[in-house]
Amino acid sequence: MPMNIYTFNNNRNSSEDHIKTLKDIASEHHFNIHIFKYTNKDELLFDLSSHPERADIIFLRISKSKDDEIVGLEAAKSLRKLCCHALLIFISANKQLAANTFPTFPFYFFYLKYLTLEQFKPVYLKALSLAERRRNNLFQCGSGAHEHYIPLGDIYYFEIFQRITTVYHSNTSFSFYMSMSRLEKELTPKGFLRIHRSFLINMRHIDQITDRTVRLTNGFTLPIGTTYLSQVRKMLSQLKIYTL
Amino acid sequence: MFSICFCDDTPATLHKYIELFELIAERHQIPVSIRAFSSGEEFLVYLENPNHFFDLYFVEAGLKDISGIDTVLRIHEYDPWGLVIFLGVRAECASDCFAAYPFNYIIKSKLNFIRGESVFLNAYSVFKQKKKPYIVCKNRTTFQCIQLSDISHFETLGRLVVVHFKDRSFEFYSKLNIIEQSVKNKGFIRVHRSYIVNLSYILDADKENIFLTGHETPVPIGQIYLDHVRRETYPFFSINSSSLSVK
Repeated sequence: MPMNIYTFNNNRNSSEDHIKTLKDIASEHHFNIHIFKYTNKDELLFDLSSHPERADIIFLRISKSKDDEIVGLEAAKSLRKLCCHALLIFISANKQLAANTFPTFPFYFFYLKYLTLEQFKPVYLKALSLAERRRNNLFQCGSGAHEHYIPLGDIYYFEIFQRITTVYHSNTSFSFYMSMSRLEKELTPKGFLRIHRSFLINMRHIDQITDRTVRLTNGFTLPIGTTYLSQVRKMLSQLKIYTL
Repeated sequence: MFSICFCDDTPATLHKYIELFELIAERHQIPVSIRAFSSGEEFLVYLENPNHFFDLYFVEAGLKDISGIDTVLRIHEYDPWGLVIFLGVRAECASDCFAAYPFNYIIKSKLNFIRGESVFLNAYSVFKQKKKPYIVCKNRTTFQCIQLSDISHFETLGRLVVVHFKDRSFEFYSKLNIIEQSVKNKGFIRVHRSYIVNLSYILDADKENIFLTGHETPVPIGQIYLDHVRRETYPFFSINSSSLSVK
């Protein structure tokens, strides 16, 4: 799955070259990327507002306008309010603006005047590898307008009933179509454990396992299926340190 | 437990920050342990020990002995995923700090409750997503999974080991030596034949006892472990008599 990079630059002339550079560096290091280019911040905001989690990295050119407003920065703030967790990289010709970007938790700030490719490349590659890591920790489900991205750490468990799978995560739940075997295959390497024909749980949220039940850290209790009992007990043999 | 440290060479501001972030944590009912350092050198020496790490680091950008950026680069060597927040005086220096990939930058004069809260909660949500070490304890009927950062201490009573975590405890059969080996370099120290303690839960200590967050009865220090405890807790607490105690 390609990583989505969004760029915002209100200076039309310069952006074509930059996009080519971004693509070249990424393909050179075997990152699969997709670039979305914007010259209007409202368009960017509009497109991302329905799917804020789709963006992995956002490059924003910021500058001060005549009425003392910082173009681009407001867009970044609104995105953060929408729970967009993309890495933000700011580019500006005005060094003074660096300090203003901090409330948006920026990944980096480039000062345009002394910006060289040697300087840009390591930052860009670091951002790509971080974004990839973050992407691997997101679970994507649903499709179209109901597309959801859920951080794996927030998921307590999956339940399947007839053909509908429900994911329970941080106080809410979401239902979608996917088979349990496919889910199990995808998520077992990421610290999930099948405990029942209908349940797949996140191991980092196990609180206690007694005879035939699992209690999760949010207080939910789930049954362990007979088929899975020995497997579950084997996974949790005594006194080992796991990192989950 | 969310462990935080501050490194700043002006003691007056240190106190102010500790108060502010304690207040924020209390408001959101997040258990925190806060440590403070008054020089960059001292701070880096402390971090050399693999048993010593924090979840969130606040570093003054203009330390007198060693530059804040170098300090942070060193922190990342020990703890590549540690969250670092710079405390700076001047907004002009802000753009240079990005070289160290900080989580955020706070301009001291602009730090207030709201800004502090936003930074703190953002850092906490990143911390919660992080993969954390767990221990699985087993007795006859039950498997108990516990995050190491939730454990305040282990104690042994005869052949039983009792692990204290959150407001609960769990008993199982094991040996403290085996546990000591498995939690080695993960923030725990042996303080007595019968006790292993999580460093970030230590509130105070004297030559005989250690006081832990959330526990009224102190944990005794075994005399053969005293030197070891001193080394691990330096420069905090009154057992290190020569130290300048910050808290």
